[in-house]
Amino acid sequence: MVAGTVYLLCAFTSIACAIVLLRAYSQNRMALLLWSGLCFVGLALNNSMLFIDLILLPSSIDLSIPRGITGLVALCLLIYGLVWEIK
Amino acid sequence: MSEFLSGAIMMGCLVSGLFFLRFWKETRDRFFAIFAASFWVLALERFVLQMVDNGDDFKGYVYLMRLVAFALILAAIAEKNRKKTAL
Amino acid sequence: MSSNGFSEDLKRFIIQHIDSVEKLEVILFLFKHADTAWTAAAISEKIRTNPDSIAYRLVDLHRLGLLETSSEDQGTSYRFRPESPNLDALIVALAKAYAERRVSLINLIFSKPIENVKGFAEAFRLRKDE
Repeated sequence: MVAGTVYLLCAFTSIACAIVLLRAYSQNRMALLLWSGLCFVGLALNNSMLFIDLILLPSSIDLSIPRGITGLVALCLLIYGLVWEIK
Repeated sequence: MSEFLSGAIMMGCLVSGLFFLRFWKETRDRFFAIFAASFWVLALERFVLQMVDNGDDFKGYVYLMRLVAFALILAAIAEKNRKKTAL
Repeated sequence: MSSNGFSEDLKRFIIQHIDSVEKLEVILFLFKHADTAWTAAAISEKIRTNPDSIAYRLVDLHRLGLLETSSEDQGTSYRFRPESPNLDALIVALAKAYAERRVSLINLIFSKPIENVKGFAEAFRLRKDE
């Protein structure tokens, strides 16, 4: 059950990161904060799905592709922000 | 397909880390060094996960890397707040 | 978020639209002398900053719906004429803030998000100011 704990912790920490980033954005409306905040929302979703997929759902259901997509989209958002929003 | 997504995510993390490395060089702020390290750990995790294909238990340990990465980010933000405000 | 005495509306207005002290001075000047129309050159004589940058601010303020323009021989002149009573109330509040809490006001203007790398790191100083 180590795996389950790790996945759960991944989900929690990524959600915490997302919350902190979005809070920072709400206080100080920097564009880069928005993009990185959205990235971590995506990662939070990705990690939550990780826990759900590997622990909660039966092995007949495989969420690896939807998970991969959330992860990739999340990072694309971050890279977009890093490329365009730094002056 | 999921391998493709995994590889793309790895590249995304690598590049993001590279941006943060540059910011660290520019500002000498350890905050960015930690972010860079965190994203590179995420990239490495993708790589390791691809290379090993043992049982689910071992995969759980690999995902520990992800946990470390998020914990690093939270630590970086916490450190930013400890050197208290009132500039 | 504590608003150090400013209403949320005023705060939002300042953060979104007042990006320099010069702009603040221009709009408050026109507000105070709303009976006349002024050209950039005339204003610069009073406020003592560069007439070109004043002209730039005037265009901005006009676009916000705060001024009306008319063309004269000396050039375009502007008069304080807000498009809505809301805007009028905002500028009244702005003038009051300038008179009573000038330092806070100026701080607010300069606290706009810094679009650079350092700003990103600084933004994580989540002020627990409750």
